Amino acid sequence: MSSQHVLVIDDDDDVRTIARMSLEAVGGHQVRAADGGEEGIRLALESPPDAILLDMMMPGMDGPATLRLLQSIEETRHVPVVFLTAKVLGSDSQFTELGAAGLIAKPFDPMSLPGQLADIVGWD
Amino acid sequence: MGVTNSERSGWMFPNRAVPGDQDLGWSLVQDGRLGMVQAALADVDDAFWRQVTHLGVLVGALSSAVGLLYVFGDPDGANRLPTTLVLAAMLVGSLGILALPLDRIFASPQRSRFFGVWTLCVPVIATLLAWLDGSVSSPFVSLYPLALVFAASASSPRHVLGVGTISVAGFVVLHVLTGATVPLAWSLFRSQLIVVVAVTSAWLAASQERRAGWMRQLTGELGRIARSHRSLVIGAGEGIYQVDEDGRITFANPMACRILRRDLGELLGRCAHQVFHHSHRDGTLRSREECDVFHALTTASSIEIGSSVYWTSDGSPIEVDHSVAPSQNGGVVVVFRDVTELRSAQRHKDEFVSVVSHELRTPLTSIRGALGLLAGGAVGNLDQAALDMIQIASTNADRLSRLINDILDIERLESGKVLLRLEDQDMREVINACVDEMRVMADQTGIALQVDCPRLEAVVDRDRVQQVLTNLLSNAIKFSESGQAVVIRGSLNEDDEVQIDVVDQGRGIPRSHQDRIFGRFEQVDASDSRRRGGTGLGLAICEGLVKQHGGQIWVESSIGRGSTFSFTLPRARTRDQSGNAQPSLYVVPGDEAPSDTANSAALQAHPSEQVLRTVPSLGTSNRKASGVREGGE
Repeated sequence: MSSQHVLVIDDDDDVRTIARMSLEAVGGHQVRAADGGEEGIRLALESPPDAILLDMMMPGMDGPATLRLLQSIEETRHVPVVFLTAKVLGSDSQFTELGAAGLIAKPFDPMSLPGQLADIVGWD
Repeated sequence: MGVTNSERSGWMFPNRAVPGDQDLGWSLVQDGRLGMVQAALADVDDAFWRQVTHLGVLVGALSSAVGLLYVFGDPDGANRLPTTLVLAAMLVGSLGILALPLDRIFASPQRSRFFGVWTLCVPVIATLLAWLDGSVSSPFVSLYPLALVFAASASSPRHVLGVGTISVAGFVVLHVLTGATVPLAWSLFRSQLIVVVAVTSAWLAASQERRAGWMRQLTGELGRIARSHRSLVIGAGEGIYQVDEDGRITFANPMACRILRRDLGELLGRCAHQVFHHSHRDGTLRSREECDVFHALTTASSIEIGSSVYWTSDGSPIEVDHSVAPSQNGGVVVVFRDVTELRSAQRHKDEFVSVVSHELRTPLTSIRGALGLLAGGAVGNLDQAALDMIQIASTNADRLSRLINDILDIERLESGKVLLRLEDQDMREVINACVDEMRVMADQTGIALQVDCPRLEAVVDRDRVQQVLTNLLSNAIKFSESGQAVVIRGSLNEDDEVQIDVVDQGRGIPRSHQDRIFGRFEQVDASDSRRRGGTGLGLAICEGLVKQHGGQIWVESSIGRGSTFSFTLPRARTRDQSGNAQPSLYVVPGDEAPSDTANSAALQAHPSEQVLRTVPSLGTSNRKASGVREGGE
């Protein structure tokens, strides 16, 4: 798996730390992390990542709102966004309808997170 | 006629009810035939008393005419009676004329008594006048039969006999007092007319009284039925209203008025749809085509329980559950209750559960993640004992996570928040996908998975059905021994439904547990949740999902021989011309998704889709699904 540039957007410090460690140590990716939608969009605009892991429920600008904004900006429109959220009642389809590339359920297994992300985004 | 004043002016006689009378509404909702009978009886009653009154006037007028003729028809002054006395007697006789105003003043019992006393007076007065006149041939004698006829029509046979006896006695006394030259027998013979009229009148009066008695009994019975119905409808804790075939309100009970915050007068005669059913909750107009009450009106069909929104007089929406049934007047009767507070409480509970689950899940994500990184060696190597401990912590973090998810799923199913995205699906393909998913787990425990399913099209939400299948498969694998097989069979059953059976050769489920196994936290063995990692909610979720598809789920099992979990799904009927299955329903966003955002996005993505249907919640689904067999037979 080649090294990719991943942006993690989650309001919880510990979840960001775990995701960063998992993606860096297990996946070998380069990770930047943001604690909210606004910060995430700012980082994404600075240098568009190869994929974004986006928390669904955040104070202020939530996941869907952030996704809509990312999709409306030319520079970030093509970046695949994967929601990090609770998987309830097999609800994958609703997130893809919102325009997300997929869904990774919380709590995630840090050892398989890079693999799950690669499967969804289509990295070799 | 034995009918009390209050009854005559009250609910029993719809034509007498006055606007604003609280009973007016009730009188209008009377069962059609009951109302008609009562109206007819009231009409007969009124007509009778009108005739009696007219007869009274006639008797009074005739007696007055006889008196006038007597006084003025004999100008040579041969009369032996003083004119003033005749005029006074005429006045008494003319009391009958007063029957007309008295009819307006008195209700029947007093009126009846008045006429009774009056008819008894008439023969006495006639005798007195004829005696003063000095002859049994006096014209006043003709008042006897008149009094009899009147007594027969207005009073009882007792009165008729009384009047007859007084008349005959009066005639005899007259004969003696006036010193008649003919024998008494001859006078009595001449009075035979009185006897004939008396007998005939008594017979008429008796039949009249029988008829009156029958009417009293019938109206009393009708009244009791009506009062009983009335107390049920008036006292009902649910709002009840009736509309005619044009949708105009013909009745509303007090609770309906209270819920809608409107007076009865504001409702009666007006179109229910326009008054309080005109708009959806979001304020958009509800067309008649969308209105379930109108649908019931036009199709003469019933709606058992439906949710809707009514509007109060102050313009605030109230959420209601209502049932609609055709009524005899060609309209429908609607029974409804205000569930605004209930729904609000449900929303608060849902919100609470959603927030709590999020708050639980976030630290759990970190715990699970940290443990996973430790166990995976991502942060350095640990010795075996430490790894074992981390494994235990990790497994339990997973279990806690599953429990939270399952509780959320149950919660969402019960609150009806789950919408199905129904599409035609080939069940063979769905089953194979599930089997592929479970293959690793089955291989690990040495269980063979076999699929026996032809191509079968069902109308399902694929994700949800896969969830049911995965759950059943996972149970079957967990409760099978190494070397055994689990068979997934698909077929069309005799009801033309798609039936899926998951057959295992495991330990089986005791009969005593088979009924309860679809309940929450029900496990055959309490240690199962620890040893086999289940939450005890899986089958409850499966049942909820299957029922939302309109299917049923049940288990057949015998100890030591294994279990067969079966569920049914609706078979696909039609496909569009291009052969594409069309999604007809949309998924409501998950608990962590802001519903409005996700939902509108879903709608925007498919603007052609118009149908959004909430699926009845788990606890109440049997209200709609008539004829559904209960699971776990």
